[in-house]
Amino acid sequence: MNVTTEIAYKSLNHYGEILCGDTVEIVHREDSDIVILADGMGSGVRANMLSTLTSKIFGSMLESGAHLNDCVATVIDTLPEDAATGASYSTFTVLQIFHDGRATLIEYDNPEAVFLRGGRVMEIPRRERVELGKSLNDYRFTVQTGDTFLLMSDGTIHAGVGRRFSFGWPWEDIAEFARRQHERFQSPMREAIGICEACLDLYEGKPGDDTTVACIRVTGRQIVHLMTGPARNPEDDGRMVSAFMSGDASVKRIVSGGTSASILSRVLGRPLRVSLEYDPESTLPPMGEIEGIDLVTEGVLTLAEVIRIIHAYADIGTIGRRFFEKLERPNAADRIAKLLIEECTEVEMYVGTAINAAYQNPDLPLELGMRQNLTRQLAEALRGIGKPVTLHMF
Amino acid sequence: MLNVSICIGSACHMKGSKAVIAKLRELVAENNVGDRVSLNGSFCTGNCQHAVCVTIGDTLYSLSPETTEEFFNNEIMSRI
Repeated sequence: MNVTTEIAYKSLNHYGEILCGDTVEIVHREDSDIVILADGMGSGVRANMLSTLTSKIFGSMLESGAHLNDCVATVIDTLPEDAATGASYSTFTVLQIFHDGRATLIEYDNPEAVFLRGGRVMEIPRRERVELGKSLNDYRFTVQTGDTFLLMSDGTIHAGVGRRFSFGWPWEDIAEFARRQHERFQSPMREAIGICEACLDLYEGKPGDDTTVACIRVTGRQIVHLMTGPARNPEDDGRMVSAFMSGDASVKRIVSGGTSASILSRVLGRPLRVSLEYDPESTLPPMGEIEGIDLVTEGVLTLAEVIRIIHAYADIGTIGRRFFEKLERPNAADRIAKLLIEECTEVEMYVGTAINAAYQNPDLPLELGMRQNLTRQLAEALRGIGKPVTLHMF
Repeated sequence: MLNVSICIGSACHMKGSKAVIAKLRELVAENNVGDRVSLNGSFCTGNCQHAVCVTIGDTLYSLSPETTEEFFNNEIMSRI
């Protein structure tokens, strides 16, 4: 089995606090992907430092190849304890999913993770073990494509305490809510936001606790090829097109750039049709069509907007439901951004480095001459949201 | 059918393709020649210095939203 993961998370800060007391750390390793969700005791600065300490110890040890068991032991040994109660100052959940399908879930005093498979809530067996006097749940299992996990801080199950629900939002109800929204939503970020926004409603807009949901979905690989710009040497057009068209039918293909689209159309011998239908809510040019190519768009203006959208997606603090409503708009940038954000695990970019002489005209906006810069920014933005990018220059 | 192709590539877009297209559609409707004129889009043809680029057959015209009506009267109406 060859699996990978899509990971997203969303936090609500305790009402009135600038810092969140929950911290999520994501580690992509050669052999596995790991998510750590730590919840520091209390709220504000102190909670933030405690959860950051916890998640960073996991993060840096795991990144340097440490075994998860050793990280757990180190964290438990390092965490300060409350003098009166003996309770640790931070709780945590760690999920490690190996690319061969093996997985380990370790839970220490956070609400249990919700595990969705095939439209059902799966029970996670209790496999308690004691580590340096602390009782952990340590569950080893094998994942399948489509499995979804929701890791949560206790701000979720406490949502509404003293307001609508005197005992908070019961775990079973959260799990059922998660199962129902899972059927509708196409991406982990939408699922994390869905639960957080429901919590915010239960808190009547004023969270009484830091609230965090991390959503992890197990997927197969989905490779996207993106071609933009003509090759510096026109003799390389054919080589560039065949690199772009390499791979099997599961690869999704985007060509962004009028000249690139024309080259592709010519080399493949498939006609290029260009629409005159504008999205009234967008300032971008309409899209084109080439048989067998998923998206055909204009280049620099569209890519500049795609970068803005990905940066907005990466801004965990402000992203919400409205972001995804806009992402459904029928224009070139939203279509490309949606594909890259929600239907892609890695990107191969085929970048032509020809300088378009016509764009050097001082009457035209400077933006047009900036393709090299844009492709670098796009690659950086994609890496920033956990999508590995390989650049091929022509 | 007379095919009129309007470039919507980056440079032409910045120079007002959208307004040129809207104007041409309006003129086609006003003159009731929709059954004789077909407006199509095209991507960059490499003539960005002439933006907005409009082609009829192999002839390239350089338009702006202001000159669109004149173009319609001189080049489209005279051909149909």
